[in-house]
Amino acid sequence: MISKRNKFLLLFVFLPIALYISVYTWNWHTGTIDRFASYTGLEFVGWVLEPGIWVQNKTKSMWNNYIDLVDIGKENRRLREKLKQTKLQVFKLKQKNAEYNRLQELLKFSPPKDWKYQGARILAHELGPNAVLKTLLVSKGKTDGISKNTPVVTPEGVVGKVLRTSAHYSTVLLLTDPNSRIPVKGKKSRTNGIIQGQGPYSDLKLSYVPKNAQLFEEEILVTSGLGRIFPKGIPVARVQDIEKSDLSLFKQVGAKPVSKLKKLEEVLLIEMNSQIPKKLQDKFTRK
Amino acid sequence: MKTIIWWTIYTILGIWLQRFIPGLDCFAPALAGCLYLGLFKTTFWLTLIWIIIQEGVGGLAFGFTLLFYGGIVLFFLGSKLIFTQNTALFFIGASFYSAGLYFVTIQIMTSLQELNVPIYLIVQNSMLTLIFFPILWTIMILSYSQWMIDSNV
Repeated sequence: MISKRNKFLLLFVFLPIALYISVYTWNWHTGTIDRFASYTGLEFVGWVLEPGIWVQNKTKSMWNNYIDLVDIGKENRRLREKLKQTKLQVFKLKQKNAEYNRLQELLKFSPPKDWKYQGARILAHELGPNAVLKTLLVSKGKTDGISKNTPVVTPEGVVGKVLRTSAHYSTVLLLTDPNSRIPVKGKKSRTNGIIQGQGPYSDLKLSYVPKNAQLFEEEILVTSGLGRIFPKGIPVARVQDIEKSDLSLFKQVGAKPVSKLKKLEEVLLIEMNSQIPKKLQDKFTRK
Repeated sequence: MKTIIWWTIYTILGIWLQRFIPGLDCFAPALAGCLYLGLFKTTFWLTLIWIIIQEGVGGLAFGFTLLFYGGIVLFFLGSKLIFTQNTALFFIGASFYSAGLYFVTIQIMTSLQELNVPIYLIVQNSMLTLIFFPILWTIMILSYSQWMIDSNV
């Protein structure tokens, strides 16, 4: 006979723990719950944030217009209003010009051969208690052709890669996150290494650079294409300091990202054009 | 219907607050508040919905929110039997428990998933929980009592 105390322990302690471990392990192998959570939770949050951001921008501009028109004296009303309107117009034109320049910069970006790209708006940074990784929430998802590991860049250089996707939104892992690793090579020296994030307040770390390998300070590090995630030749970081240690076989190299990660408003997501593999597949299936 | 609308608005506002304060959890204090007010059925549904939301936007594999919210629910259910819940000491103790639970749970999950997360980031988020847990808890209880309980009387 099971005592009352043991029954309680079995029902409220051991059974939930066993159930939790089983579900956790099953999901670790299949990713089913992760996919379900992305398709529902991430999607819901995207739907909540996107209209709000639109309303926020509209309200801001309406409020600015209202403030601009309040407290105008009767005597100089027409003149002042004209002046204000002109100022507002100049401000709007400046804003538009800045946006135009930014978008033009995005358009100037020429993706490597066989890769296509699309722009996305940033909706949020680390969201919720679960977001301990340095991430961004962007407005493009699976329906736009985005999948896990899709490279994310700006005209300046690499931002990170897609971590998870829902139908219309994606989470991007920034290159400054300690779990991010990108194979790179020096633009001038052609020395290979792996760039690793060190957290938001620290420089990036370039690992596995042999002690006798050539590398220059201020040299730009570009993607080497070895990881088969990023196309070759996209700028990632600039070498800041190089130190040689007596204890290690490798150089200690610090680098700074070339993209201004704190000031990002839009990003580009690049995906490899699947036309070539498809053609090859067709060839094989015909045979 | 009124309850669904109230909680939908709370969820939307919570998501927006989480957008402005990265690392903040707006839903754990509300779960504690629900249990404090004796809304057990609501707690069950809200736990399910909020777990999906937090897991969906988070960077970790599934499991953290379930463990964290499970710990919160168990603590508040258990403490109902042992302590008097409407005292300042319990209020402070529950906030410290939530912050501690967050710290331990995130440490377990990140090491299980072999993720490298700077310790200062976890401490920072735990401090956020410690500070905001009692504030959000109070706001939730007061606003819910004001609009949902008082209006029904």
